[in-house]
Amino acid sequence: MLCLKLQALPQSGSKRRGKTLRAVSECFLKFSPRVSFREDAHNAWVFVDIASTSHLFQGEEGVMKAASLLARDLGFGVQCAVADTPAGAQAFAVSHPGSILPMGEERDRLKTLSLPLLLHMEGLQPWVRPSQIESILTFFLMLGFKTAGELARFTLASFQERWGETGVIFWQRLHAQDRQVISPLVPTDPLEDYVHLDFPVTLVSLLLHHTDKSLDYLFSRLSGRRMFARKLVVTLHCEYSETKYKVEIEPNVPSRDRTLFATLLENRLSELDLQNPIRDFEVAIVPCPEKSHQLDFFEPRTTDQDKLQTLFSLLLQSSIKPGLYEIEASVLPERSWRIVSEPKADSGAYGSVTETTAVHKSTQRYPQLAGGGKRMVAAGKRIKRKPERAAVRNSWATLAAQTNEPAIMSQPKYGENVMTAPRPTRVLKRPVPLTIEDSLAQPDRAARERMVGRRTRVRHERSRHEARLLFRGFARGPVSLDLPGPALRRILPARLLRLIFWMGESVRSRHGAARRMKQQEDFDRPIAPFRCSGDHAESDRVMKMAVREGPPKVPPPKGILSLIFKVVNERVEPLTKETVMTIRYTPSALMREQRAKRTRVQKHEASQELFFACVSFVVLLVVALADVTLKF
Amino acid sequence: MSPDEVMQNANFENLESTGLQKLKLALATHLREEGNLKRPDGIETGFQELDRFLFWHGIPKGALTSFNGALGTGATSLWIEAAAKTLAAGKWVVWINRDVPLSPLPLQHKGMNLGHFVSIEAPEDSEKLFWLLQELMSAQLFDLVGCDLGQLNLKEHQLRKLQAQARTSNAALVFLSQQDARLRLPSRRVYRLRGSIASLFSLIVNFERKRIVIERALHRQTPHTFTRSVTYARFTHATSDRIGFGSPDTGQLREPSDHSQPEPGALPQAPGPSAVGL
Repeated sequence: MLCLKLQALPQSGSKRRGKTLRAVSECFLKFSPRVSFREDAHNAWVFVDIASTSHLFQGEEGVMKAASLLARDLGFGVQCAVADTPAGAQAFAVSHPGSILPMGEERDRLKTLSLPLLLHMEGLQPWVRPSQIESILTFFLMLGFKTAGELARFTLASFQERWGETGVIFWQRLHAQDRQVISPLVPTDPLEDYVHLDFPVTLVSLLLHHTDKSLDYLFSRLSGRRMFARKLVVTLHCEYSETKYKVEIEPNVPSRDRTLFATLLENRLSELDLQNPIRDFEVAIVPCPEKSHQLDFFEPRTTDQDKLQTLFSLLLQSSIKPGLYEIEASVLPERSWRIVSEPKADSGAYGSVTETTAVHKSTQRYPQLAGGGKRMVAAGKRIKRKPERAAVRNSWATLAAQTNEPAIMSQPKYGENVMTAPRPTRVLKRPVPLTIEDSLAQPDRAARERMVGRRTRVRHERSRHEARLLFRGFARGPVSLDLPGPALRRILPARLLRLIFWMGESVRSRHGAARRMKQQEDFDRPIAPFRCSGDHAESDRVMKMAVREGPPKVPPPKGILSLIFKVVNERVEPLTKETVMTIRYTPSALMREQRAKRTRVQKHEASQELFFACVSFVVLLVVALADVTLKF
Repeated sequence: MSPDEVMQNANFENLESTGLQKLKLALATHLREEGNLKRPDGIETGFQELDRFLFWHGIPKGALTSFNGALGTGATSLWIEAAAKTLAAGKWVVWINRDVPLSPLPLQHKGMNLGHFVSIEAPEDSEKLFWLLQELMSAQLFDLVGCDLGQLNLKEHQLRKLQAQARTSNAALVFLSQQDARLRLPSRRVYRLRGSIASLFSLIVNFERKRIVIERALHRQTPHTFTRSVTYARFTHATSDRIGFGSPDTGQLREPSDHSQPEPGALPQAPGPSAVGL
């Protein structure tokens, strides 16, 4: 059991401290999946169960060196020790930092510890009441005991009799019998880091100095999670004007190569204009499952593929298109090949290396393969890649096999896929529209729905014809028309009747309209624009005609409207011939007539002027002739 | 004659007892014949006369090479032959094309492994091209790099840096330029100006319609000229035969239209230290 005492953490009790500690403990997952952490007022403790993994790091000493180096790289002061139990490891991390107790010797080594140091024998579970432990230790010190070994002579029963449950735990930890089990740590926090700069920077080099620390931290966590980075997102917040830059770096192939990401980030940042200083920045990593290599002992760890993909990533980011040739079956020579940035599976580029990156990609492309992202590879067994992408693209039969569709699509049948169409998770009940016929035929239901309340009214409002609700050319108002039906038909043309209908709800009288508008029930009124006195059939017929023809496409001109209102509301009775003729005229016709009249007047005036000019010319000529004649 | 034999056969009494003579004799003990020397790495071009003439038996690795010639003079073909040899050894090759990329179909007919053949579209800017070449060199992946310069020129300090990187990565960096005889400078004054640039290239070959001129090759007397008859006999037709236009066993050779028909018996011998033809 490896215990690390971390110092220089953020302030105790803060939310940031717990988050930081949880994230830091992820970095130690690279040594063992069984990692636990705990914090107290001054320090933080990380416990790593290295019993089964220490041989991978050249023994317990190698693990301890690597772990302490990692903690120092992350910026923490660290003291560590290895012992059989977490409690003993913690006590020795405090008393003898760097000590490694051989297996089974913890009990004997504990005997040499002085009594005050036993206060640190906590492990995963701290003392419930440290004051009680202090009283125990004070008691023994008062009796003249100095080391823990001198307490070993006391039996468990004596401790239990005097201090109860606390005494039992104390005795067990004293005899290295408190076996605390560390469960595997499952990281859940997002791979993000936020840095606020005390002094905003405008130089890329200074900015990179800060981003490098964040990258170190995040890639250590990534390494602990055994994942690869698919994308790196850096958001730079400027000091002034709330400007921010978002830099997204996505290499050709996911990797955990921190140097590659740092190089790509440097290239991208060098393109930015940092006149506006950077105040703070966020770094986030989008992870993806690790590519599992099964390499022989003598096989180089850095393969040609890694070098190639690194190179491709660099070039693609700089807008240079690299690639490998890929031959395609085509009649036209110029289309018989293309350059792809991703090497083929059966080409020499991937000929001798086992890799499962394609598996991850294919799971994203084909959802039916989801869940098989990571594939364990047996030693020496090589996995071929998925079928060729180019071949898939060019083969309709393959496409059809993947999508379960026929190779040649027939004409679409409307409504064929209604049952398989995507549906919302919660289907709201649609209001039933209250049609004219329904309201007329079922007056009880209309009256009942009028009484339901505002919610129902809103529902009815929504159930109304949308175009009618949106048609704002008219304002709803009291319209009363007590004209006989045939007379109405004769006087008002069909277009005007339609306008009146779509103008709004018609009510019988002004008093009734005011009352109903006050009650906001006009939406529930049956649509009856005209209540022609004595002839209901005629009003219904006009109403149906207007509904059938729909609302007018454009709002009617104001002149006609005012005229209609004048006619209808002010009871211009009887309608004179001039009024009816004016109503029949559309504004354009009126304007045409006025324009023609104006033209006629102008022509008349022009002819008059010409006449007067001619007359004056003749008079002047006669006068001149007379003058000449008189001179001679 | 081995150095020991030289020492035994040396008649010291007849020689002048000067320090220079003693030094020569002392050096003779350490000198070796050229055939026993281990030659530096090179990539064979398939053009036997050229390979035999050059010190590296081909295009030098870890050095810069310049192929100059107009379109259709065979510079790219010679590079492709070297690339085929490199790919056959399982190494990586990269080609930086200027305008139109190489068609892979003839390369595939040659039996080249295109999985190790990387094609890159060259940037328009010479600075960016320099950066690209640096990245390729520092990748430590490629053994042969071909770069079609077109009308671009790299500066002297850039070439000097590339030379150092090529030496580090032991890669053969070949520049192909369509500026005819760009480095084959007529006047002494211009040569003096460009001489420093020319010295950065270990091998400079000018391709012309009727001959191939080795303008610069380390440890060889230059300029050295190969006539086109040799070229077609040993290189071009051997290549075309391999892709199905004839059989090398028949001995039927074909000349381009602007050349006279060669005599079947007039096949030139392997070039010696002096120029062949012309």
